[in-house]
Amino acid sequence: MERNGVITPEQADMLRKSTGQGDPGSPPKAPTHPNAGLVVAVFLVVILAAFILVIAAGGGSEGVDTVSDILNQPGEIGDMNRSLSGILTVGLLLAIVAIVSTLSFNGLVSKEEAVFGAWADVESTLQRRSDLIPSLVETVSGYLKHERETLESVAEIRSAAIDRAVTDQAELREALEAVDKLEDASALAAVQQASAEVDAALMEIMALAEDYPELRASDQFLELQGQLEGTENRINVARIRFNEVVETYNGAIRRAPGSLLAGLGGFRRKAYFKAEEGASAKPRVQF
Amino acid sequence: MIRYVVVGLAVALVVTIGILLLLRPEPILIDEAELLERDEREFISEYHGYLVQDYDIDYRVFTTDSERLILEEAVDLFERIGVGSQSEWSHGLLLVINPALDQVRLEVGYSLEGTFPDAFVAYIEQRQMVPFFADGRVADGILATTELIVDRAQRAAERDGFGADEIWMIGSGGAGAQTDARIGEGYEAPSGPVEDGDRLFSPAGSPEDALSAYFRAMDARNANPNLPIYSPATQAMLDERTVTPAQMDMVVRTYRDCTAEPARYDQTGQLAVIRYPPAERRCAPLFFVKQGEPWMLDLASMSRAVRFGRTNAWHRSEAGFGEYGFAFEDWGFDGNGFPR
Repeated sequence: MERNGVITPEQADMLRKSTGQGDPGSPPKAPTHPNAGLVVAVFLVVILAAFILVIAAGGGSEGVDTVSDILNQPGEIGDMNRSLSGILTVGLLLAIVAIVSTLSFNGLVSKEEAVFGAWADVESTLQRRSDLIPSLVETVSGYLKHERETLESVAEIRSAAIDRAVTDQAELREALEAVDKLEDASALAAVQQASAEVDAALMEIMALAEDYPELRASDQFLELQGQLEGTENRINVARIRFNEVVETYNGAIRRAPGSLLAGLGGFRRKAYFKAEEGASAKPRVQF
Repeated sequence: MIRYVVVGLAVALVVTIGILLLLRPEPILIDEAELLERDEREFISEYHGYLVQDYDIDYRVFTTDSERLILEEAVDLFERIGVGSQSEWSHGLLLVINPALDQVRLEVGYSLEGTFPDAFVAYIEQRQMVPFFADGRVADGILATTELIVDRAQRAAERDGFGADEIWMIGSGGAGAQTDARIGEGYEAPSGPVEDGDRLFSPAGSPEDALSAYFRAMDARNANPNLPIYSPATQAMLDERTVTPAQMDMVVRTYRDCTAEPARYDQTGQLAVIRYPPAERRCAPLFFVKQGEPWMLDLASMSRAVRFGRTNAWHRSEAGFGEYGFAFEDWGFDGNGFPR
């Protein structure tokens, strides 16, 4: 595009930066839980301490006199059995608590990982749309240049639309990089806002083709239209699925026993990636 | 004792029926909107059933009057009815037609995104399916689109192994395309002039000239049935047919890859056939008739003599070649009419 004079070198530079060429985006962040080891260690210590206490309380202090004293007699419960049953009961309860806690903790980890995975999908679909901008700009502006090269107004409109798409794309990229652990609702709202602006810029570029039935009817335009619409659909699906897994995760850390472990394990509430008001009814890119 | 046996057998029967119901595969076609006739449903189900056998593609069709957005409906359905589950590699396609919203969407599973990109799906919907729908021929539109899907799958298989570079993944994530269905709105085929720039489509001095003009017309997506390169019977036939841009593209694409033999003439010199080697099975022989001076394409006779199978390979119809049989005396045909 730069070679063909469709865009200026400055625009080309911005486009390269905005679409991530030469500066690959960082992989989705998936923080580990610094307190995970601590949780397991605490449970092990609690279980060990309980065993020691039960053994210390139940046996040892009184000597064993005769076998008959500690053996069960009909209708009796011996001292040893009392100690054993106490140890077993407490041990069993602790084991149940340990198992439930471990399962619950692991469940929270899995749910949180699902949230990070779903966000990675959102990011990749947004990136996919960014990748379409250069070819979209090239097709539409190239056609307009061919058709009405001498009209300055068209050149100005085209330049403004390209500038806007490139700028909005750069803002979206910055907003995505600002997202850390998906806990800050304002950061996700900023991504949504930037995404909507890119969307609007793309629509503006597509709208430039409105006056050209030949361009709209061309297979090349149909191809771009199909790709763009497909990308919008993927973004919507990724957003819906992200919100679903966030809902599951947020519910899990608020309900018992997850709520008891959430603070200890560093699990915090995640933000939703809300669609704009009326986004589901947004008109499709269709000519 | 007998009572216990009877009760046991009854419980076993109920459990077995329950398990069978649970394991029963979802049908290939679910016509909730009652858009199709019974025989159309059966034919589409049978044809799509072969896609699993031949290409490992689980292609379902679902019609609905739901008020939900067609994208959300398609994504949910894809998971709910297990599209792709009948394919070894989870190759799933789902066509959702909603006459209430007048929309159609072809949802592509993750494992087929590389073979059927969004742009291709948009193309076959808008350039093939919708023209049939607009003509009120919903079932034909579905089947004609399936032919293009088969063609794409075959070419992918020939190129680098169908599905070789696909990811193996169940489900879908919004890939595919949707468009207005325009059911029954009426369709006008893209037409064009009877002249082709400096070169007239007529008169054709030889079958080869007529064929060349035909390919030029198809390449220009000129579906004008009144081109002088067509015999009167062909013109009448084409006037009744739904000719779509994708069909014309496919003619050009298919024959471009085939090597025509020299024309063969009958004894009177009034009929001719240009045929292609039997190995090039997608390129059907073309019939020509000389009426007066110019040679004309006799697509009407050809459509009676030639049929296409589910792999888009041509074969002789039960009616046979009729008066054009002279051109095939040196070929043998198997029991299904395929040339050997």
